[in-house]
Amino acid sequence: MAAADSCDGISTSGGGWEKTVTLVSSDDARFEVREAAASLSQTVRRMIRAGGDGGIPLPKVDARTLSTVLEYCNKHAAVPAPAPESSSAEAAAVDLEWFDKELMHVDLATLCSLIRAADYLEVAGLLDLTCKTVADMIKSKTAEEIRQMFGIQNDFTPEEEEQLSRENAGVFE
Amino acid sequence: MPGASRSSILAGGDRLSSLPDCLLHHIMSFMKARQVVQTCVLSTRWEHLRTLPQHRPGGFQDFTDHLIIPNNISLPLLDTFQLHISHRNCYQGKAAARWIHHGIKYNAQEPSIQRQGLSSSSWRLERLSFPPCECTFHEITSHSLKNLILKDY
Repeated sequence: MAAADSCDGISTSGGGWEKTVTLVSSDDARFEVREAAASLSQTVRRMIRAGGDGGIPLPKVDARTLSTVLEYCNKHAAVPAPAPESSSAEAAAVDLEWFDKELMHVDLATLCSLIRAADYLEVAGLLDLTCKTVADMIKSKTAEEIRQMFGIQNDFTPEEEEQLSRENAGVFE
Repeated sequence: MPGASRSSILAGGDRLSSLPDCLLHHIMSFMKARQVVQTCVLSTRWEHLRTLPQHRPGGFQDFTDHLIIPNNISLPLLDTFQLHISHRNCYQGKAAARWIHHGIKYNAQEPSIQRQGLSSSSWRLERLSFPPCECTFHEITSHSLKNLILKDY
């Protein structure tokens, strides 16, 4: 068996040898991930550099959320560097876009957990994707519809609400 | 309480509002300015967000760029244009100059006289305040300005 670094494993994947790391969720689930995919997380990348035994602990992310984050990382790390204007690059981009869209078919609680995880793990692409998904959900909706969708309690007094509406009415044409 | 509302609350609670400010600002950076303004009426939590500084690079800058686009906000209706940038956000210096330029250019009741630097033909803008920031312009002209506040960087 090949020698491994303290927190890295060596495994076969797609017929070749690839370096893997073990990530440990807040609920002690262990995920063996290709280092290239795990490194999409800047937080994990720093911890890989720092080294350590027994896997990389991620105490702020539960197994369910981490599993989705890693699904994103595995897919996005698998995409080769874009060869400009080639048809395969274009097809890969379409495929990724479709993948991202499918990945965002989750309930609101999961979406919020993913936003927190993407921020903690510093996966910039996933943070943008999740935040944009929420922004898109808010688009073209009235305040009351947004409150209902996200369970936001309206805690303004009627006077405050009226004043805010008046102020906002003057902002736009 | 309507069924839809109850089920949403049960499904997600108010998890969105419980996200840290910087993450909610990041969400807002993907929204049109009109929609961002609308979110401030959702609850006091969201109203509070509108007045807070944003430290995440890109978020505030993107939002302000978006806001300053004339189609998004009716700048001629503005009486006051205030820009607050902390020392930590020095990277926004050039962006700040761009926003101020737009803020004044579009705050015009009559066709603007184009000049190098900052120029306003607005008859309404009376007070312009520059907190300490690294802005690159060489002159300020306005028909209506009564107060100009410049602070040392």
